[in-house]
Amino acid sequence: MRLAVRDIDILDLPPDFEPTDDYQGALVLIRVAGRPCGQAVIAFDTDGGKMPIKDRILSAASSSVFEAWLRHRLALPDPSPAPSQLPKASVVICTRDRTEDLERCLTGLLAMPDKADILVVDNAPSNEATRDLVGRFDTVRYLREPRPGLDVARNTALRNTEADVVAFIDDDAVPDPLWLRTLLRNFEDPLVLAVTGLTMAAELETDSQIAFQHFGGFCRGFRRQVYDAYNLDPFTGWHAGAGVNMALRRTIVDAVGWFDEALDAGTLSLAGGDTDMFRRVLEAGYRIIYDPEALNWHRHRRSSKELQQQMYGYEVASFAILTKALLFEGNPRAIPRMFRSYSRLLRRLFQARPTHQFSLPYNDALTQVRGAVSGPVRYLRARVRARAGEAGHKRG
Amino acid sequence: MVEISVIIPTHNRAAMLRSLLSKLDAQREGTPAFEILVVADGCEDDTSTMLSSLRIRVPLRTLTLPGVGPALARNAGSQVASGRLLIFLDDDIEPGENFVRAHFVEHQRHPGGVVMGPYPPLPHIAKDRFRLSARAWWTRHFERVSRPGHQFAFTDVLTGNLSLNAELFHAMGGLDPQFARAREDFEFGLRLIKKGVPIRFAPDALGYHLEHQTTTLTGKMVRRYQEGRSDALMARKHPDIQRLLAIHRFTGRKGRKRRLQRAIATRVGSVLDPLVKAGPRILQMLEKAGLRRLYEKVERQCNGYHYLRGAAEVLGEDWRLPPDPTASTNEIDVLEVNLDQGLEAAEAMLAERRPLAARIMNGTVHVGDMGHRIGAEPWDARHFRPWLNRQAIHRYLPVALAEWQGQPISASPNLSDFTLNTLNNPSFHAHMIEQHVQWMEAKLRSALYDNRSKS
Repeated sequence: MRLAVRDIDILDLPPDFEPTDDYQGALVLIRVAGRPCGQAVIAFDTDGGKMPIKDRILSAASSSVFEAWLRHRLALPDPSPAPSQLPKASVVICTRDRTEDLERCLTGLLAMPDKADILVVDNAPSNEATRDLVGRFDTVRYLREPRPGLDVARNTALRNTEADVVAFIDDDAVPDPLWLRTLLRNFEDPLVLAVTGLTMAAELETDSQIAFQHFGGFCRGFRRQVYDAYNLDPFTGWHAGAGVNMALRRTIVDAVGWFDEALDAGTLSLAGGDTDMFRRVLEAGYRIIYDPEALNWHRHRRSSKELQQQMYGYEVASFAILTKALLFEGNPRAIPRMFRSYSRLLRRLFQARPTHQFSLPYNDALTQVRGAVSGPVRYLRARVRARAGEAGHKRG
Repeated sequence: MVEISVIIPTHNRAAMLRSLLSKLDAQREGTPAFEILVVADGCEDDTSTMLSSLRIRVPLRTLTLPGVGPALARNAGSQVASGRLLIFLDDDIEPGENFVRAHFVEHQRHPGGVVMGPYPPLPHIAKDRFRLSARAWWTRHFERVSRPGHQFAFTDVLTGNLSLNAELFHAMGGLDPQFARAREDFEFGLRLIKKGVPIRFAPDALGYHLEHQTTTLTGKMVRRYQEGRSDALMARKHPDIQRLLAIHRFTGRKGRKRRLQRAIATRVGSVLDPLVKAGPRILQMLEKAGLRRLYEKVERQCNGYHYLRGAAEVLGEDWRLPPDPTASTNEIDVLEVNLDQGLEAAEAMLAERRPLAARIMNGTVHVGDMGHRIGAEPWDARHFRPWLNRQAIHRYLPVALAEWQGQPISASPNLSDFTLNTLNNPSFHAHMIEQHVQWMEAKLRSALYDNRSKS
């Protein structure tokens, strides 16, 4: 199955969708007066009568579209924050051997109306291709981090910037023009340590990409949310956003510490560095804001094998974080959370597998159980390696 | 002779008071002249020493009272105030540099009303459940009342940051001394609303609330006792709003559970008081263990117990209240407003008539009812669009969409019941369910289906 990805303003609709014979339908980002406010999933009818595009969009639109549309129609004031001054920012891309994606990302960053310090952190590269690519962009800084690990690269970035806010974007994501400005407008409240945004799928060309997006992808809703430990359990910090689209106040390292270098891509824990940081932000009494108007576009993993590995990695990371909280932070709240998660996974393992059109070609419940079982051990081993790597780095 | 008096009742908060006064002394240039009246009520700390050694440019006067409570302290301050404009400020609020001027300007723009300013919590780290919930409550409260089109109710009137004309304050009889320690501002707000005094919100009259330094779990339970007592007094004094008070659920003829709760509150206090005193410690243990639901249940029981103990002090053995006068007479004038003349015409009608209740139609379609809210201000033009956007959205949205699409109102296939039910629900879980439904209802043709149909 292939789906087109479209970006449409409800107040300025095109006459119809472009003719796309190869696509079964489209995932549509819907804007009202330019602001992202919802989505629709639409099937392209190759048979039968044609509905006008407005009717098709509205029939499939999420409820947040209607809220934003009505607010606009009634000329009500915009509830979004509008600070008089934005903090100074750096944009950081941590990358590893993905120059084709990185080029698209950098091109998108340079197309933004806001100028910011852009820093590429090349993490344990296997060749010089990334350095050569960055050399073609005058205003982009290059930094090489030889130790592998996404969180190692993130920490390196935090050490090498002087801006008040550091915005992270993945190398396989492309920002919307107002992405950075929208993230930065949320830092007026000094209790806000992290701001996240909406990430939509840049393409849906394979069944695996569609399956990932169907599970929710990196979308956390279309309504702005202010989270703290009162309205969000720290252990479900991933509800607040994802590392592909986040900005952190640089003083976060003083308030809650550095990224955990035993977590995330490039380690045995496979993922979870951003989720762990959000958890610690909430536990420490601070706030995270999710602002869906801070939009970027992410190219999801294309193949079934990659998707399975990703799901496995998410579950490993989930239990790695619980292990960390229990054993190294002495947090007894991790125990009931761990029991609940294990029992939920085991229950799903013995249920019949769903067979709708987005079913996966592998047993996803089994994949998740395997991840949950190996999570604690993987974290402990990753932690040992992180310490060894750090010691080696200091000696070098 | 100054135009403005800032009245600050204080009780054993010398350090906080000193900080507050220095902030008042540093008001922005262009602020009209004002005096400060500190009412030291039952202070046993170094408040008087601090005040006598304080050096500020603003004229400062001190009253000393023997611990009579904030309501009487504010009344006493208003009696000796020189200014025609009274600004009441709590001693745990730090005023911004535009505080006094913002109150003054708002009164110049709209004379004759009561002006309230925001005092959200001073940004502070909140880690335990009690601090988080207190911070969330205050933050949410001021977000709600600062929303354009907010309809003020008596529970929105807080004397922590409030100003009004001295003549009006005295004409109202000041704060009721019965409510010496809690809810005196709600009761005052109720009288203001019944008298038709307009209530305005001045966002620039900003203060920061230091509630994280002045409130504790134990203190909250003590306050619940005072709130129970005041609610019982309020229900007696204003029987028409008793249904809005928590105490209403326990008065009159009630089921066995309520009667048992009343009996416990009235008679078994000497036995249960020591047990309930352990509540805060138990709550801390529950929170540490991550037992959130049990925490909330125990907290609710402790607070409820204290509330009923306070109410029992007033209601005694019989727990009876005066009959509710609004229960029998159900006749309220309902203004009928039709949208087919346009939103501006509807707003103009509401502004002119200021009804207690209004029925909103669009042609022959009933859009919604701006219902009568006891203890709230009448409806006005500024309430209308926000009301359509939030309270009436479920019925107004189809009407507005049909109008936008140039279709008859009855034909509205774009909105499913599911979509209508999901409106204005910001929770993450609602989003996940909704987007799953979107994918399933798109009825995309899968590759498997394609292969099957081809063969």
